[in-house]
Amino acid sequence: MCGFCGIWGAKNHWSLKSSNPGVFSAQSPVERMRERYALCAILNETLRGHRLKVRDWGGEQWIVEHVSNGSEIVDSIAAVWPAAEKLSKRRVDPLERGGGNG
Amino acid sequence: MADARIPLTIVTGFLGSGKTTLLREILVRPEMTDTLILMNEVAEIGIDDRLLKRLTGDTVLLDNGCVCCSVKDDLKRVLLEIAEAPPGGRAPRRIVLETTGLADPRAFLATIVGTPMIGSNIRLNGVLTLVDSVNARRNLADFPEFTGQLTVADYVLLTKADLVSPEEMTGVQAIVTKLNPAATVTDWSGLDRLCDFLNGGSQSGALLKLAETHASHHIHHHHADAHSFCITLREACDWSRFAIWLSMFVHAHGEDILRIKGILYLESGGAPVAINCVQHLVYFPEHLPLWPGEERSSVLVFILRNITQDAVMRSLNDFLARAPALEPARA
Repeated sequence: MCGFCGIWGAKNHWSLKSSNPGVFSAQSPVERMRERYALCAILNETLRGHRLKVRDWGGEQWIVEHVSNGSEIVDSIAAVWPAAEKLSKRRVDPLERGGGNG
Repeated sequence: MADARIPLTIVTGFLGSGKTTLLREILVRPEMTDTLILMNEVAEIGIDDRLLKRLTGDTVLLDNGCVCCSVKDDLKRVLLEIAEAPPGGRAPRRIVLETTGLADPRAFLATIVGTPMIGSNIRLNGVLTLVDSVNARRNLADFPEFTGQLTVADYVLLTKADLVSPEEMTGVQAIVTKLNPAATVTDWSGLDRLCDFLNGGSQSGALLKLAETHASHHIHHHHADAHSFCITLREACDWSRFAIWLSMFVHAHGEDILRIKGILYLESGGAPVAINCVQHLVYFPEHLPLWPGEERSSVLVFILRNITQDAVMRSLNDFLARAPALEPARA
């Protein structure tokens, strides 16, 4: 749990290099944040057409934010998609033209 | 670095496929001592009294160190207890979880993969599916549970080969391989290698062979409403970009994903990385031993319903080929 804001932290997730030390070399705190920034960049590129932005939150969670419909805090990459659909009222599907980027 | 966690293998198979016979065989093999078998009903296995050391409630302790334990309703609790403090104070070398004949192994996979505390000491080794060679065709036609058990398999054991002709056996083998090209298929003559698998032996051989066999052309098979195909990616890919695509694909189409399995050639270099997915459930990736030769490419096997190969290829290639965004998100 984050000692400052009391938010329970994100759990290990298969998508994170930091959750797979047996596969990816052990990461320093700087490398972990660099990974999260890179993930945010890809998520933002993917969800631009949904008028959404994703930001890292406390190094453990993600904020999914719509330009006008509010925001949600989620624990994992997997949870980004239902939040994105709820906020944008649009389906997120990589098989749609543009691969999820509207 | 070798994974020191206890390998857990799910053994599934249709009614009459020979699961109990296999477990009885495993219990007496010298290389399989200290096996913990989790099953529905210990009494069903018919343990030889000469092997029996102690019987306590739902647990049977055998003279050779094997333990059989009935798991009725609370698999999660039993596995957490094992992960935290193994029965008898000594960790088993391997765990075999036997499902009942009509059980959907995906529920067990979800419990194991979805409980991080279990993963601290126990590694999901894979799924072994037993197929009754005599009734395989009929089961495939009449029972969707059978298809489910086959598509999640990492290893398939064809049983009752002595009751069918060699031609029929070849036919059953072809059916299994077409539906799940990523599974290793064997019969009772391959029991030694099967025990290697139960001991946590790497599936890398099967996956790397798949890469060698299918790297140069697409394999496409149809069965009923499911079809399987391989996709090869020649260029190294970025793990984060691939993971986001897979996560999005699983979210949008999990109900139509019977299986995704393969190896990845990553931009970060190094050994191939194995990925494994059943419906909405994505396993944690694993490192495989080094590439067998000079060839480097990602090979992914998809077993899907209602989704075309072209759609998947176009989407995946488009997504992986996009240039990285120029500005990182602010914290």
